[in-house]
Amino acid sequence: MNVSSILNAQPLTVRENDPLSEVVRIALERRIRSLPVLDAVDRYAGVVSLHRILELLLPRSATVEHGLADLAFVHDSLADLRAKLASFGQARVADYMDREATVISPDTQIVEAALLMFRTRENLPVVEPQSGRLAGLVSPWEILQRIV
Amino acid sequence: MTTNPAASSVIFGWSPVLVSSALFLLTYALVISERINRSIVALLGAALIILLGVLSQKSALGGIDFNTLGLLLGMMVVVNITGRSGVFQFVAIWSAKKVAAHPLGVLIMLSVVTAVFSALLDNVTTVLLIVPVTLLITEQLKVSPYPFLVAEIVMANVGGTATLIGDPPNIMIGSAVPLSFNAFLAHTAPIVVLAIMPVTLALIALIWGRKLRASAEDRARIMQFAERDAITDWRLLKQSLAVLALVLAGFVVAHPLGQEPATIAIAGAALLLLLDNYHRSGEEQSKNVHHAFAEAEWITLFFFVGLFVLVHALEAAGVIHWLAERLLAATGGDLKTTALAILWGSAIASAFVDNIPFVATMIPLVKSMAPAMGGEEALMPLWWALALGACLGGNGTLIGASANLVVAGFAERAGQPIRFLAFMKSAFGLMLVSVAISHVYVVLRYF
Repeated sequence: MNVSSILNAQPLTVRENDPLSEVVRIALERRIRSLPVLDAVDRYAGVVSLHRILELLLPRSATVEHGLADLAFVHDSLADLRAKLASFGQARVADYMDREATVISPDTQIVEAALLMFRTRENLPVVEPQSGRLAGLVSPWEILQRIV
Repeated sequence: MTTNPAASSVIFGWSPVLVSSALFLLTYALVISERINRSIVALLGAALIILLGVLSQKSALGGIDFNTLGLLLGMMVVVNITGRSGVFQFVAIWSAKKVAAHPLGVLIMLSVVTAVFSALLDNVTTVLLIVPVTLLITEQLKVSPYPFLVAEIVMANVGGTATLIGDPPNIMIGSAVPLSFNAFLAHTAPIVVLAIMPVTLALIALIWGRKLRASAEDRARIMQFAERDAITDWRLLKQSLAVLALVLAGFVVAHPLGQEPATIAIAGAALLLLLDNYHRSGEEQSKNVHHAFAEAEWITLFFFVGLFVLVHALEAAGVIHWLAERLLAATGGDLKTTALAILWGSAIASAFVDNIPFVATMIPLVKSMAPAMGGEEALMPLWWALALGACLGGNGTLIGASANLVVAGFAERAGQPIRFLAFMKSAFGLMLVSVAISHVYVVLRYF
């Protein structure tokens, strides 16, 4: 059985030109951690996640490879973090989305999708291979709902 | 050129001189081109030396200096375990707060901390631990990290020059001659601490000091750092500092007791591994010990293995002896001229090629000058000239030493790339000044 029968065909999405603040707003309102991104002609372009927003809030010295192992000694105030969030809030989603995120096609088998989700710990955008259009989204919820 | 009869079993009756030289030059060229990882190149070269019959496996293994390898490996393990305790972050933050987080003060303090750590530990490990804290501090101060990173590169190499264990060239020279830890304390440490370090620091402050400004608010952010919270494991901290102190004391007393530095370093690593693991379950121990060993810089260690074999082949074929005769002829056999030629020659060479293969080649070359110079005792000025030149030369360019490349990699990832020519513009001058100071020192002290 492939994922076309279980995917969420109308996932929330954002556009490449949307500001990151829009991602934060939707994520907070709908309690979701990542959103597929569409380009100007409605094709799938990438994924933008709260993980990326966290990375932008943190000092770069801690998020780079071989960076600081912990920040226990940094006592940043809420005001500092708020200022930082505001500093990148107007940046375009296109500049911070993950273009290499794992995607699947509508005929991917459910077990394979489950394995990919297990490995990436992310929801999977389902993309039509020919048109590049977003067919939907598969998350662990969809799989479990189908099984139970 | 005379050929060692023992090395005449080369395939197809080829000349061992030709085969060993060709393989050595090819290896050098490939290492410089950076197209293939240097450890792969050196190991392939070494394998060909044996497969083509230039050396037997037994004599090739005889050419490998296990004292150098053991010292490097032991210290890498000790330092990597110590680093987990957070002590390096603690010292960096503490030193930045001591100067009220004034950017110029922080620049100087972090430079001194880097130099001291580099003198006692491996340079690459030191910068791997100091650079992330530096990036955090400059990020909070809203100043460019560039001068800080360049200063740390320069001071890592300067500090490393001071001691036997500070920089790979010193480890190799110390092991081959042999020269004790205390001999380096008596010969390279004084000039580094009393002249090269202060002058380099003053020049760094002069070049970048005026441009560094931070607002009171940003400085206050650093002052709020709780450095004690940087210590993630107090028990490990106490254990690792105790073992480090033991190891350093061991280096001081090793020579009189007839022990080699590698034994001290490996014993220290084993003791720290024991302290860090005896209370854990078997499975946890396996994971933890595996991690501690995996953290060692195996690329550097295998690069050494391959190089030692390649250089040993040159030695056995008589190439090194021939080169030494040429150098002696060029300097007229005068000890002072030879020492200064080695000092400047190795500084310039080490700026552009890795100083590890360079020193590996120079060691047998200098050794074979002993009869012409009046015995091994007479060679001492040459060894100090080689140590000073090869270590300080690493500051000439971004590719001069491994630590430089590690910092450059960090800078790149943090979005503040250090360019080859921009680095050379400031660092090459600093390197020339330090070698000029060494020139005066060598002349005054040994002639």
